[in-house]
Amino acid sequence: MIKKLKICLIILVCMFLTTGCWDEREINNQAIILGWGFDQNEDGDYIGSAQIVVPGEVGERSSGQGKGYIVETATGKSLLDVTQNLQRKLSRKVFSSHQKVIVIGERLARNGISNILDIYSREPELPIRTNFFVLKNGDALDLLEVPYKMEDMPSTAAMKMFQSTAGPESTTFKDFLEDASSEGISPTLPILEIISSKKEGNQEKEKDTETFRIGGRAIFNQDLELVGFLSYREAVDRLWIINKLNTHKLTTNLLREEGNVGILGMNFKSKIQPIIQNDRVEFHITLSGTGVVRENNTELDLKQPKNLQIIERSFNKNLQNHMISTITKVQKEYKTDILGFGQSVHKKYPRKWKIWKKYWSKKFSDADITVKVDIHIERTGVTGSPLHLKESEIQK
Amino acid sequence: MKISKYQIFWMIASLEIGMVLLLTQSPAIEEAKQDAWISFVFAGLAGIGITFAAGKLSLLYPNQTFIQYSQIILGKWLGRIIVIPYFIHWLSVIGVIFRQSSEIIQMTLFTRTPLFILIVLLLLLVIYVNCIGGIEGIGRCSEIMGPLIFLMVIITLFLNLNNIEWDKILPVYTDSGLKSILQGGLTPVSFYGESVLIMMLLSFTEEPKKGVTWAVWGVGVVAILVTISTLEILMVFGANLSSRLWYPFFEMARYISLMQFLQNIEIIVTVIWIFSIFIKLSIYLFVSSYGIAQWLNIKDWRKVIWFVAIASIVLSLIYPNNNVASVSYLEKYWLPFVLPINMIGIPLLLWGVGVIRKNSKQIDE
Repeated sequence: MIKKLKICLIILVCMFLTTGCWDEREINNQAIILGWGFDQNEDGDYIGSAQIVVPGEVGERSSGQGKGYIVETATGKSLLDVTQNLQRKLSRKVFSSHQKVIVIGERLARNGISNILDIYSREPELPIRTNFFVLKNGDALDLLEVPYKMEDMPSTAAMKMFQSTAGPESTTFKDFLEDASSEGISPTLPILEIISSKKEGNQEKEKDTETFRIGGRAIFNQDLELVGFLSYREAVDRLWIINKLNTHKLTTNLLREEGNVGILGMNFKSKIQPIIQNDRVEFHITLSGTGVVRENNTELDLKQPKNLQIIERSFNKNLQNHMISTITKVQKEYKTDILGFGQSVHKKYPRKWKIWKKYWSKKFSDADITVKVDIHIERTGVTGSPLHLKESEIQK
Repeated sequence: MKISKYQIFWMIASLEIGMVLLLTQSPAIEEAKQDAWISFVFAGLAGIGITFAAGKLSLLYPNQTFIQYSQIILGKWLGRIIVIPYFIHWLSVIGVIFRQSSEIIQMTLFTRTPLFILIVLLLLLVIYVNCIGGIEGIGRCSEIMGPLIFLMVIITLFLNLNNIEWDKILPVYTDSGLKSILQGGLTPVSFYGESVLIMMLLSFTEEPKKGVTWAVWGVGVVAILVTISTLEILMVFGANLSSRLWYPFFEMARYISLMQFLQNIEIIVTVIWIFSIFIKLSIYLFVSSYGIAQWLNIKDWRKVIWFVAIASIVLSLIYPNNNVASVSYLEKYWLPFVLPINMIGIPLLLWGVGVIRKNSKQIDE
């Protein structure tokens, strides 16, 4: 009897102890932040803008009410300070584990972003799979306020856009940190641009017609200051060179004949071969890929192998020219090695690299480059010549 | 209390893998850069050597623990004195493991729970398995948990295969050189060397000879897994980044993202990792309680558990912060004292003297 009483007592005590979790976080008390934007004002303070989910509104946008999120801003000396000041405005506790996107305004990027990176690798709650973007021509706050229509949260839109255009699923933050901490490659970040959704180049800027899109790539130097931009097309060249391009649609004009051809390019590969002679470095870059013809606006009959060769030759020549101009721009204009050429020297000539790494950016901008592009067309779709052409117009 | 040869394998393997994966990769990569995996190959070989030596020593007196046969080999007093470094080593490391593991649990799972509560909860569990099951209970736990730990490591490695860029480990050798590579292997060796615990455990095995073989296998398998995971860490994060991350393997678990839907599984990894810590702590608690009892001729070793338990709480809370508990303890005590003296020096000395004594005895007869 006494034993039973004892057991009952123990159970009773346990019930009092197991009433709930110590670290409980009610979802009602969390301000879930999906995206951050950071800018810098004239005093050097950081302005952080957070896109915060408003739980009740999510998924009910069809009724025309509310946006599903709010944007709040705060300033501070550091990002932690910004977060603390933001908390003063919020009735719910800041919860950052789900943040996917961080946007950096152009001015802050030009001043250098080394002071806003540490918090993201130190805090265990913040995911290392965060995507960083630079907003070209603007403040990050502007971007967060753009009412993007297709997604509930504009922040997720930026991430999805990036993943569907940039090829491989990549995390810009990890890649950025990796490049910033190693020698022989300079870090880059993808760009977002605010545009008018109605008509590109429309002068009247109304809030309702604004949207954003993925731009090219922002180039940072070793001090993590923004030094310049690559256009979207140039950024594709860069991806190809560093072996991270997945699939991409390429269109080119034929060299001699009229018209253009579009292919869906796949299996992009690149090989960088550094050759050192007399203290000068020369890079041989071999790029290859396969393609499937998706559009043929020429009079060529693609059943004929020789016509395929014409297309391949045109692609190789034009892509080569574009590639050379991209590399030259990076070399001469920005003098920053964002293409990993230094790393290829490091891998092939490790002893030479020990001497060279100190003045690599100079060596890099002086290096000679040869580019060879080899596109192989695998298939031509289900028609040979365009169907709308008359027999006499087709070039066999 | 008897344990089987497979239990010895799982005990050694699971007590080693948790902390090796957590704490040795970052210092090794810092030293040897992209060649750290070579350091781990060397460290694995050295670890196997240490285990083998300790096992051979124990086989001289297969029915006695280290505390007992050290007195036979070196005489009553010298034998008693020579085990004192081990008590310091065991007691202090229990405190450090409690501290580090609770810090990590606090960091990843329970951010607002006081450290003290986490330590006490873990401690109660460890005391429970020791009091109720003794070494047999620990052995059975490791048989169940060990495969889970291995599975977790293998799954983490597997799910990160899509993030690999193999050329990140180039150039091999030229950047670091032999000295850095060996230096990088130092921390891993000092963790693999914890297998000298079999000097205490072997007398409980049913077949001591096979027990040694399986213990060596335990260290070997862990060494292979850890070497592979170091290679993968280097290929995912690159040498520069991973040397600065404190817990690169854990970071790799956080980095898993498969087809957009399998993400944030680091919690599971942490929970399974706690299994390894649990086994490690249980074994250390058992060994130090049992050892102290034998040393002081106390009949019931279970009474000593309480003394060790209280000591370990104190020892885990005296460090002002996590850095002292992990980095300074490792650099100021573990590497300069425990590795050369407790793991290599004393076992080899005892082995040498023991073999000579046995031989001379046989000649006398």
